[in-house]
Amino acid sequence: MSCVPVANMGNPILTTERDIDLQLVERVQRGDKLAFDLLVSKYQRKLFRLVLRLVVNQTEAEDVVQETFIKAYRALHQFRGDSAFYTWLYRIGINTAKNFLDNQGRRVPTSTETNAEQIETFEEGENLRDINTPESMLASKQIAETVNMAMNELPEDLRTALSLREIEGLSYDEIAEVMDCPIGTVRSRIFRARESIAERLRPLLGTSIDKRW
Amino acid sequence: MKYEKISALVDGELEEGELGPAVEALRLPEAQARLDLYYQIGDVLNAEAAKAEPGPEFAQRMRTLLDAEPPHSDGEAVSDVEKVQLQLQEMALQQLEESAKPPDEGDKKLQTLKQLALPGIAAIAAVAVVMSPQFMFIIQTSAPTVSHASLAGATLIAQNLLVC
Repeated sequence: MSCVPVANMGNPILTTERDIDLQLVERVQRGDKLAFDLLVSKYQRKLFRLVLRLVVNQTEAEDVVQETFIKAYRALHQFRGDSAFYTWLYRIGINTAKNFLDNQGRRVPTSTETNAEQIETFEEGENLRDINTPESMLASKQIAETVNMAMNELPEDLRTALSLREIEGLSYDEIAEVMDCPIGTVRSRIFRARESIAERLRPLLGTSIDKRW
Repeated sequence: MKYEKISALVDGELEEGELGPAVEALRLPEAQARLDLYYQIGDVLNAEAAKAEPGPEFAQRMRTLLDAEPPHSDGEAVSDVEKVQLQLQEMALQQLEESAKPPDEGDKKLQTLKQLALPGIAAIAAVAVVMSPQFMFIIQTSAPTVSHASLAGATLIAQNLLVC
């Protein structure tokens, strides 16, 4: 996360985003609701993009983000700054999205609930079969569509790990904190997510990715 | 697991001692292709995410929901009281400095008594400020002058106690 210089009696010091967030959180804890508005403004888009990857639907993602912020606000007195505010917020967001999908009966199984082989050999959509076309048809738009489709069909834990890394830019350490799992699991999940997407790109690329070059 | 190190390399998350083997592996064209593909996947996801925005009414709905929530107010009140307590402590120290000046012989016993009693008196005054509904009202509703008003009351209490 980035640092911003802050003047301090003529001596510039570096204050991290995490420090600034913590100061805002402390203000909220002392009754300053405006400080929470600032946190909402700062994180609403990032949280929305993350949640949208989990629930897919725009309106539902907005509902989940709103619920997440309200839950975070109500629980803020418990936040002690042991972790960064955003990792704490993302954890609430992911759990809220999971609960939402559970209540809708739409939860995508986790990778441990899904046979790994199944992930790599699942039935491809008709549109994907149809785009097994000459090299000239491999436009970036099709690749983008395939990546997004593959991403949406990933098991929940793989999708969350890759989203936190690629979309939110979190480190493995931070993702481990958000997902409450060992750092080695994070590394493995991100790798498996990428491999699953790469496998989905195979029909587009016309041959095995390994043999393509 | 063949390309897990390549994936970690893309993320800048290789563990100690892994960089050499990862770079070595990248001499193979298929490993280089994997690296490019992982970057490409990242680019697509980021481009897609950049398009995703909450709707125009989202911020207003969020604000309405938050407005309905009560403030986390306990801490604020405590914070102001703490300020008053700190100022009282400062006053007590000033009083002690004053009393450290050479006193008249006849006042010596009384001065010593005051010095010993001051910290306790200041604490009692602070508690009085905290417990007093009028002072609490002033603390919660006034601006920076609040502390001065509270302090004036606390000072009065402290002085009265000293006189006694």
